[in-house]
Amino acid sequence: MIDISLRTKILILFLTLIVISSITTITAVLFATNNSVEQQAQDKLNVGLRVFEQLMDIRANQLFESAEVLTADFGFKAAVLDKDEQTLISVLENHGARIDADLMMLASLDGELLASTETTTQADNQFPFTDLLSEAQQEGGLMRIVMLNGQAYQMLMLPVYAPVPVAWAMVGFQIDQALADQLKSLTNLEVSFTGMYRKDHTLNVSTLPLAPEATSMTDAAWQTVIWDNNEYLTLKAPLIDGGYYHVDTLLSTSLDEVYASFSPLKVQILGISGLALLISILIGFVIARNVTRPVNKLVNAAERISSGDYSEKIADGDYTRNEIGKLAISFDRMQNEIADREDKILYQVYHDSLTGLANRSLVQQQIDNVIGEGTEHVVTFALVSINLQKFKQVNDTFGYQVGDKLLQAFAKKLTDVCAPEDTTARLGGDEFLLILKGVGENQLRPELHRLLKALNTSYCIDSLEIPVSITLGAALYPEHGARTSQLLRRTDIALNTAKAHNLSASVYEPGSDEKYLSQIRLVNDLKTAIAEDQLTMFYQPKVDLHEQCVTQVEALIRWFHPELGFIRPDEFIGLAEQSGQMPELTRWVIRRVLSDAANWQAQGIDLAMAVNVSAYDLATDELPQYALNLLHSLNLSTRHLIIEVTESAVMQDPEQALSVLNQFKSEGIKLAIDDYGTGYSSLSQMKSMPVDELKIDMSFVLKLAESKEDQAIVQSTIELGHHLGLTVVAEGVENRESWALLESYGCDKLQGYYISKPQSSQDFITWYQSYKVQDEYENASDMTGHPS
Amino acid sequence: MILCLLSGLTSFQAFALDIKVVDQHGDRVKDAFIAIPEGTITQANPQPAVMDQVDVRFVPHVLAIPQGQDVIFPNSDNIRHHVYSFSEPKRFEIKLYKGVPKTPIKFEQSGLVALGCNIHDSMLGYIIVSPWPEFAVTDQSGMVKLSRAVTRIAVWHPWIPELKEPMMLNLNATEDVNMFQVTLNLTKPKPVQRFKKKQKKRYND
Repeated sequence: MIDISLRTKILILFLTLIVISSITTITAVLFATNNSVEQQAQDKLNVGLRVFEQLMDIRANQLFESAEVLTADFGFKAAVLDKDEQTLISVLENHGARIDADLMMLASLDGELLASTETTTQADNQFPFTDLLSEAQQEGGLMRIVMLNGQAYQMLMLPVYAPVPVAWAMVGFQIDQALADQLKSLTNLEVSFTGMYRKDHTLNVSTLPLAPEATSMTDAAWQTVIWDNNEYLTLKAPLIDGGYYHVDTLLSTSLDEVYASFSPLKVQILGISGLALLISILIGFVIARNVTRPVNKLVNAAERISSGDYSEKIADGDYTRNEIGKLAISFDRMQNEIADREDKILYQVYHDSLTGLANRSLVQQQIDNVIGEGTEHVVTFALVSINLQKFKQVNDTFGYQVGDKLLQAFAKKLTDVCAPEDTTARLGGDEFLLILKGVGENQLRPELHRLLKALNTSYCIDSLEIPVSITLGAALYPEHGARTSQLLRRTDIALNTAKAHNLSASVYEPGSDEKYLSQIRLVNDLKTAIAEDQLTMFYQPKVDLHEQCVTQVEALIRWFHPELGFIRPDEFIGLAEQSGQMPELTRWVIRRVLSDAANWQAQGIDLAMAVNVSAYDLATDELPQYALNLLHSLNLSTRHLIIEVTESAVMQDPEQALSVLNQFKSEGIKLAIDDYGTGYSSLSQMKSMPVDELKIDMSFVLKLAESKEDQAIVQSTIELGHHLGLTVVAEGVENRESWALLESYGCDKLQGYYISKPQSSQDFITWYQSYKVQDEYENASDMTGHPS
Repeated sequence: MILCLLSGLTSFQAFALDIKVVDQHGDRVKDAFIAIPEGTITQANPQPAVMDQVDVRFVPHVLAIPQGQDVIFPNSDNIRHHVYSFSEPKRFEIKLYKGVPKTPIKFEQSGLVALGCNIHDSMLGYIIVSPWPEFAVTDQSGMVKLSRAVTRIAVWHPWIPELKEPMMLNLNATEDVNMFQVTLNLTKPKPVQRFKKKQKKRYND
């Protein structure tokens, strides 16, 4: 189906109707015309025929009277009785000429030809019309159409009275072209006389160029005959029928002429129809336009609405009464309602439903807008990110309803505190953001102080006085970023910095973001690092003071980035934890470490490998079984694996962590508490943990010799550990003094640079094989520096 | 055609003979000329006979005269007449005239003379010039009386077509018959008139 516009459809409908009616009219007219032509021709023939008859009657009468006068002429009578043939003939010619007769004959009462102006074909000059005599006698005379010598005559046969009948006079008037022409001029018909006399004499007289053939025609019947390329309606009227004379009169009228008389009418009708068609097209156009214009207007309005422009009113005075008008009013209503709803939706899209403040989207837009203004004049503003400290505790303590009310109250306060031109937004949770316009580097710090002072207050929620203290992070435009996302991120970084350093406010430090970005890069690169073996394991031995030999090594991960070089573990381990890659990393480590252990075993080096696991590794139950499977497959005993875990890792979800640890324990894998003394150092916690070993954090050991406090802590911790039945390990042993002190305190194992820095598997084997405890005192003095 | 029917009626043959003329329908016929075809005219009557013209008619319609008789044609109408004859026994014309012509016309040959008027076609009259001394013309009663009985008579009437001379009838006079009836087959001539067209209407519609 072709798409046809409404206007075209209306036009087509209109034109179709007009064309049909025109064609109908024209057809009817033409039909009527043709009928009329036929009828006219017939009427014309009928009239012509009557005129013809009348004319022939009149002519007959005239001829008769002429002939009668002639025969009654005294001189004629005298001559007739004069018997002298030459005289008679001259008289006949003379008197015939008087009345324009074409044929004069005289016959005796017996039918003997006395004289004739025409020679007859009869033998011995016989009178040719003897058969008419008796009738003429009966009637006292007669009139006939006769043929003589191929000519047709209207002939009168009259007696010559002298005063009794003495002879028959024949007066003939030729039926010739002149007669036909005359009749034509009177009847306005084509007149033809055709006849035949004894088969060999024919008569052809016609006003037509070619005398028609009449023999095929029926009497008194209409017939359309074509002569000489013209169509004629013809009527045959015999003048004489029967006998050996046969003369027909054909009256014809040219149909073409009648048609021709109608052709102006046809032209007029066609013209009128054409004009009507033209006018109809114009009217159709106007109507179609009048119909489609408001529709098009609505279409345009609908398109405008769909594009989000609701400003223009659609219904106007012109079309209010009809359907289009009603539709336009509906459109208007729809437009207004859509606009209203869109406003609401937009408000919801751009505002926080709880506090009614702007949300992140709106803030981003507004920052974009403000930055956009910067192209015209200098713009400065500050983004301030606000965090409610310990808001989670409020929720936990008083419930979410109170928490929400607190947020609402805080939002209200925030709005009150800020200037009207500033934007206040809630980005989510207890996180708020301010756009402080016109605030530059100089105004920022006073402004932050003002905010802290104003907002760090107690809020009365349901008769509860809830104190709130906030943390602020701020970034400046244009100093701290040119783009919205950058500014927001840097404000966030500043806030995180403040939180991390327990500050009430922090302004973005240029360069922080780049560090942040590099961390994100590292997260991405870590995936490929695991796959491409950029990671490697270093091993640091633990010396057993009782055995005076190395019994364990701590496996420490190292990352040599192909571009960035050596990446510190505390840098990327945290990232791996945050990005969820920790379990995978830990498995890789265990796999690698046990594989090395198996290699060492093959070389006769039998050591237990201590592997660090994080809180994320303890969050699921799979790790113990994974380790066991590996040990089994590598033909290693469970004593070859020691799991080192920090207190803080356990504290995140103690129940789950302890469950995993107990699995290790039950399988005979030993557990060690790492970095003891820096975290919670909860004795009750330690009591419940199924650990075998306690590793004193290196921060207490590094300067053990100089610090009395460290000595007290380490000594008591060793004692505590021993009392709890744990093996105690000291990390960060860097000098002989520390070694000596630790040995004196009864510490079980030592680890540190004084013994060996972490080394690769290959280097460790070399070191291990050359290591003698006896030489330790001498060699250890070379080792300085901090553990990595 | 002539049909002569003779029927004898007993009469006084020695004294006279009555002849009654009827037509084929039995009606009495006037203006019939009856003569005894015997003898010759020795002396014509010096007094001229009269053929008058009254009310555009010849009066009498039929006039019988002996051979050699003068006839005068007075015009009693107040219009002129042009009396003529083209008949063989006497051709003449008296051109338009009124009153009584000065000279009578002498009819020296016997025979039938048809009279006409050149300006009044309907006028027709006859003069029968008899070569025999005894003749008569029937009156309204169709009767004539002959002076003696004869066995042959001459009969003529203008309505007997194409009869150029009087026809002779033999009377069967074996008995004494003093009255004969003569029956004539007469055709009344068409008056000189316009014949009415009797052409059929051939052109219908």
